[in-house]
Amino acid sequence: MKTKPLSKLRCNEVAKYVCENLDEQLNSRKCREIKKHLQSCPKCTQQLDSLKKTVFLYRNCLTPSISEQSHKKLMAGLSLMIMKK
Amino acid sequence: MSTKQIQTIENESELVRKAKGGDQRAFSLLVKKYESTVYSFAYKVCRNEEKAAETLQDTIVNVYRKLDQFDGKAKFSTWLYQIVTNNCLMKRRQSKLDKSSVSIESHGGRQEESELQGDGSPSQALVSLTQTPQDEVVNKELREHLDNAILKLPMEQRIVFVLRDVEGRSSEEAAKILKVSVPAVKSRLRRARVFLRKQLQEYKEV
Repeated sequence: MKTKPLSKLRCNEVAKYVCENLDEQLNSRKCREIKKHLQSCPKCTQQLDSLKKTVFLYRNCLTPSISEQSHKKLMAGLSLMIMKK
Repeated sequence: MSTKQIQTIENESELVRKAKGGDQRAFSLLVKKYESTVYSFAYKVCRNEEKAAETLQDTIVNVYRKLDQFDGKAKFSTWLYQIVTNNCLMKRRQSKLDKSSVSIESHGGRQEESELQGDGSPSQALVSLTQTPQDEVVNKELREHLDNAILKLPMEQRIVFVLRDVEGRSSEEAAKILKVSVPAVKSRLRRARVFLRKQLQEYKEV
């Protein structure tokens, strides 16, 4: 099977690959080519940055703690369940 | 793996073994250990405190009833995520509140290609997000927008996004939790990331 020359990577192929593999520790030939492409393509670099920022915002959005009422309800339900068994 | 991590796993295996044997104290300790994890995951998926609390309750009941079926081949946390994920999906089916969600088939496709069809000028990207994220306070308005955007995602993509990008689980573990292939996880994740980026871009351009 013929492999596509990596030097001719297109931006949409880079976008797809980056979107799938962001944050993954990859060291394949394709990955190295993608990095090379990113170094010379401001458009793709910008897309990557905006993707990272989107993920960052969701990752750092605070999650409320469980309320005392919900915790008590859970524990009460748990005791009841254990007693029934 | 550090000694502490190994000890934690051993302690957990011991707790699970005891709970399976009917030790109620061990089961209660497991619940206390994972209560916040389950609630937090359910909240991140449902974006609603009441639904998250209900999902937590359902998950603990399921764990109690199905603990005998846990064979220890996977990590306990992976098994737990499988249960809470199923409960999130069940809740979604029951409530049918996310009417704005579109089907997974119609959602992705050529989405990521269209992302690149602009002229590539800075105004097409997240220009207003170019400030350092660490310096940006996730204010109430932005938070609401983040909630609204993620709720528009099909549940399958939303769960993958939360597992991978918010909880930091690997693609392999997400695949085990969802009982799908790794390429399926990556495909859903790609669609979710692209969709959310676009939603955020629209918000920032308003």
